[in-house]
Amino acid sequence: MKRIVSALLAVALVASLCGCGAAPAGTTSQSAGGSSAAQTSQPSGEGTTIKLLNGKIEIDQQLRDYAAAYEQEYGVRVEVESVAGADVTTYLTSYLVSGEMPDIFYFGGESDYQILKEHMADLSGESWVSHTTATFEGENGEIVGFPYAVEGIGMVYNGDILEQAGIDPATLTTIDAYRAAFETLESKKDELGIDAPVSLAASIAAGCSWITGMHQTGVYLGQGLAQEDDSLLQLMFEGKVDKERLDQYAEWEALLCQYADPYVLQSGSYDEQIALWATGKTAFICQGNWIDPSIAAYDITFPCGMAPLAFDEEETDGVISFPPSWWAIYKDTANMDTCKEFLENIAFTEAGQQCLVVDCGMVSPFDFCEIAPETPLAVSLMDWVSAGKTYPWYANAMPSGMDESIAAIYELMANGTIDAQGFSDQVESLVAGES
Amino acid sequence: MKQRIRKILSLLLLCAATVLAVAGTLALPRGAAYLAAALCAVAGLCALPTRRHGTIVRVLFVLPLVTAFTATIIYPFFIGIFYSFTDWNGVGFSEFIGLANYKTIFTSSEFLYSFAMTLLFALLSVLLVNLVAFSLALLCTSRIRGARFYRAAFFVPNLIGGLVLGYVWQFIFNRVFTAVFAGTSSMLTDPNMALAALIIVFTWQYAGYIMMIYITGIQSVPQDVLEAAEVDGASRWSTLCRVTIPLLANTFTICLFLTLVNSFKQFDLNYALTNGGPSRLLEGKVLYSTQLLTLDIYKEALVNYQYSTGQAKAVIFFIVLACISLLQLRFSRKREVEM
Repeated sequence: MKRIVSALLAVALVASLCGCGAAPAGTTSQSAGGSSAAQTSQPSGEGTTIKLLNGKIEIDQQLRDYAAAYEQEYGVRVEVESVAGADVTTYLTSYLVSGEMPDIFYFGGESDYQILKEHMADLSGESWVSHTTATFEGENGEIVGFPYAVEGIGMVYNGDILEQAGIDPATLTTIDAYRAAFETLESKKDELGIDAPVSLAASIAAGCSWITGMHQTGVYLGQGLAQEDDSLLQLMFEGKVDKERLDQYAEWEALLCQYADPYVLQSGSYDEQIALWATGKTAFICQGNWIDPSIAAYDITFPCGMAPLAFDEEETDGVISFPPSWWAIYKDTANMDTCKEFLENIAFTEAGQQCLVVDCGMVSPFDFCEIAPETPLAVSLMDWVSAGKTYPWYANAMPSGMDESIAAIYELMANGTIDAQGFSDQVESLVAGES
Repeated sequence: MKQRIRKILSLLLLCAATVLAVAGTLALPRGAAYLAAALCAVAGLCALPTRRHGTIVRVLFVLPLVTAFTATIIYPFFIGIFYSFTDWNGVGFSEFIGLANYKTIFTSSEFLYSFAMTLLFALLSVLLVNLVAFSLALLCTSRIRGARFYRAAFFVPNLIGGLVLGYVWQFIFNRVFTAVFAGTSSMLTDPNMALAALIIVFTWQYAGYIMMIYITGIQSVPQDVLEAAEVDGASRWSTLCRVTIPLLANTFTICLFLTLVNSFKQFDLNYALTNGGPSRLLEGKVLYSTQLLTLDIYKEALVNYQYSTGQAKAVIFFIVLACISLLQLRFSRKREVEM
């Protein structure tokens, strides 16, 4: 009797242990079965669920709203999950190993591509490919990345302050013009009610390494170059730099540090950097049009726009414009057609353009898009793009870890430990050592 | 005869279990297949004609825990060591590269610097945490008013997560301290001061917890010994040094061990408070000045996507930590006195 009881107990124990594993496994297989059944009966994929991993947290809600509307109309459930762009690859590798790979996922450029390339579907045959130049091309020339937006980075200015100081933003196309502008602003600080000419944040502790190490380095890699010209990036992968250009760039960054608000430069976070500029305490901020949603919270009334990051003595009249990241489709997804339809929908339909351009405040990468952006910096970027005055962006394509290392060097320059020459030399030896 | 039938039955059931476990997923949902396999295995074992059913049942009862422990601790541990010899990139690996990862990390100045910083941090914080915790424990066991309140108050920081604490203290260092001591720049912008800041916050967070252990120890010191000391005319100071502290050797072992291991493993506070910054120029090299080992491992694997070198660093970290802990335990055990 005792033996039977203990045996029964053991069975119950093992059963309960298996039960833990059984429940989720059962549900996934059920939904997978359901979806395949739905797919055979209705090619549009009604009733299926696709998962989208988004790496731009600031557009999370907008995408969710769009997904809800999409489900209403087409019966396809789109689950949006948003994580910080820098963490996407980490999430994806763990999803991949656990077999829960999202159907559509974000990737930030070359280094993410290298890790995930075997899992990206070939999208070369899609109808949107011919309407944009911003797609991401894989190693064999196939299209793997869907561009959902174009962003731009420049010297974002406060139009009111510049006007009061008598500076015309259109003239800011060389480093000398900026130097003169900063001097004017510095000398009229009290009159204009500003703390400093520039708002820039370089603190590693406050998590700003992406601002200096990545975004600013993009200026060195792209400003003044023709789109598609990635010679400087290639040099970097070879362990070399264009020293003359780097020296000039270092001088520019040193100038920015010199005229930046010292507290925000050395200790401030991204939010503090934005707040400083948005409350009219500085004339410039080194950011791009992605700050539109953040500055909306400050109800800014002054006109603003983007000026070129003209670090050279030679004139460079244009801003850096680029697709910040792309969406790829998981190669082994069970819902390939549904995913492709979703991408087509968000690219071609008015609702899709409305979501990306107006709600998310981004500029459309597609030539047929007629919806104009409404947020101030997107409008300014749109002007540059329509005028054809844009330069390429390679900051996301740098060797992994390069941005963090450059940010450390940058911080030393920001707190005065090294000067422009020291910065340039350190970056040179860093690039030489990394490759 | 009966024995034979049971034997055959049991073998059949065990075979069925194996088949179900290996190929059951083809016909059944995964959970159901494994459940059926487990049930068959248990039934098969019970049908086995042996006298050792007691052992079988005992093993079955331990099985859930062993499974969980294997899946979450043992398996990752060994697979991690394995990966450190490959060029694993988080998804898969293509070849064995032997000790190349270890060679890379031991020639990297970042890793060696992190190592030195971690040792320094551990040393200083073990001293400071224990000193503060023991003083607080003495305070809370003395007859001052509101000792209970103090005890609770000192313990509270420990209940706040390291990440939250890091961000809160970042604000305090950046904004409050610079306002109180007007004209000074934030402690977090200077490499040496940033390490000091890290130690201060770690102590603030952790001393309360260690204090609780010391309090328990102090309260367990027998009253008669203390009274005897008092009758013999020992001063408070010599009672503390000659009676209380020797009798607390046990507690000291635990506390030193806990603080040492925890300061070595410090991650969340480091991540939130300094994130490795500010940078420091050391002999022409630019380094993250407060990047402790765990943060360095994290960044290597999850920021730079060098999973295999990160894994190799983790293996080294484990070995060092294990050695230090064992040495420390051995050393402290010698000083314990039996009551």
